[in-house]
Amino acid sequence: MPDPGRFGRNDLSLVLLAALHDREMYGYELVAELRRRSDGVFDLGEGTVYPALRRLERDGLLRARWVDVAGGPRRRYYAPTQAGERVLADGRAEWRRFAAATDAILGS
Amino acid sequence: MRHHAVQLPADVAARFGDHVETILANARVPAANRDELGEELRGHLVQAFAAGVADGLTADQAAEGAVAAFGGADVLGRELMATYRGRLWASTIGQLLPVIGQASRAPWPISWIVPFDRLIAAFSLVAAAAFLLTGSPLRAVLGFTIGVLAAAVIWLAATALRRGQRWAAIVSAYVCLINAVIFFVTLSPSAGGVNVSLNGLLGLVLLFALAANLSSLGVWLARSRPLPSPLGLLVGGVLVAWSVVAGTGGNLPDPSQIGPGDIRASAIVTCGPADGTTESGEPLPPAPTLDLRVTYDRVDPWPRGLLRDGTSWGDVIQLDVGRFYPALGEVRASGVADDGRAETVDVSVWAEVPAELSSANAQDQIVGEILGADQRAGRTIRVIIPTMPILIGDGTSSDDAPALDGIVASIRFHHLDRFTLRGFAECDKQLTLESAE
Repeated sequence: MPDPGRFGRNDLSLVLLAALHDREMYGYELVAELRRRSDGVFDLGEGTVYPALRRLERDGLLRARWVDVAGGPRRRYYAPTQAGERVLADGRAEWRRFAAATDAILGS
Repeated sequence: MRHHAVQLPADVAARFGDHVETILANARVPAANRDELGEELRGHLVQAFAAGVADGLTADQAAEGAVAAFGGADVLGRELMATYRGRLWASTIGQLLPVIGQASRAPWPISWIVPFDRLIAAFSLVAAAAFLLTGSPLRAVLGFTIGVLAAAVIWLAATALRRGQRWAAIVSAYVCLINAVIFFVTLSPSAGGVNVSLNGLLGLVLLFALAANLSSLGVWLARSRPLPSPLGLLVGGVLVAWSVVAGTGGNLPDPSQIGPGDIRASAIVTCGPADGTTESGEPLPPAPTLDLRVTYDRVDPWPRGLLRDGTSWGDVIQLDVGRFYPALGEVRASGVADDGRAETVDVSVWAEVPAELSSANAQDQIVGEILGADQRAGRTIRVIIPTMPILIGDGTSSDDAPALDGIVASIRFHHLDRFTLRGFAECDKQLTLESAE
């Protein structure tokens, strides 16, 4: 049974895992990417991704590494761990069931 | 992702540094994570700034835009705090301590009130420890809990006041007010001067300082948001409870301790000839002898706390015998257990003789004490206290020691200092001791 509460407005975890699934990114880049891919719907307070990223890292769903950048501050890149990938796969499946059920009720 | 080379002006770097430090201070991030998290957040702001400049904004506009887009320091701080310290911590301490202003820009009374708050918090902790060690069970638990909670609230208020929190200013003003009241209540003359409570005096001065700087304080606190209701009620409740404890000196009712209904006291006063004669051989006038029986149906558990044993407290017997009968004959005391067994009880009795017997205000008393260690549930303690006249004048005549019609006897039970049994008996009549204020 899908859990609608899981997709609450404040729950960024699945969105972040999905965005980082394609390629590793650092915070600023990730915010811009979410904005671009969501066509502006995910126009987050930019700082708000960091608590979520740190929480996912603490929970073992993301790993991070520092990368030096010439002429600028170094960056902390994030990528999903294996556990993160599993959570993402489960979350996607659950979301699709939930979306399908919602579509079936709302109609097209 | 475009990469913009970064030339960061010093004032912008300082502004970003301040913003990040404020976030980290609000978040209470563990030291192990603090530096790299700060570097990551600063890096984000720098990149946003560079992107703004590349889009044609001035340095000021770009810096302003980067900070605004990043989000408020209090919200981000709380989110990070929840990550590192848990939701419970973030919803309590995290609500109390967000940084609103830079401490270096605080109005001057803040720099005095913060250490004063911390001093009072330390006093509160000491008082809490004293309650725990020397209070009766309920007083110990209540006094200790309230004292520790109040110390924590006042200490947090000191920290939050430096950060520009309005709730902390209210708490600090309240602490100053309570101390100002203490100043006036304890102000009393003493030999060669007056007794002054120093913390009370400081509280009074700081209260005036707060009142005189209300406008600058208003600016300092303007951006502070009110506490969530449950947290505000908790803080207020702790302070009110703390005031009650301070105001009563900790003399809170304690149902675990016994009351007048748990003690039965009866006595008879007999007035027979005193032993001895005057110098001319005349018999002494009749002198009263108190035969007192006190039965304890129940005794107090640790009335003076865990630290003090039963020998350091007791019930005080006080006989008001007039100005001419403060001397004692042989005091006899014994105890009778509820099973009828006789026991020896050591009851201390002494006369309190005024320095000048001729003083019109002299209060001649015989005082005794039944020690807590001797009190047992079901035990009756009997104390026989004879009095002896002191002769005045040339001491040759029995008229020099006026006879007493009777004596006033009272027993002040030290059970939380709550009650006294008192009665007056004429010679050879039963003395009924009744509860008295």
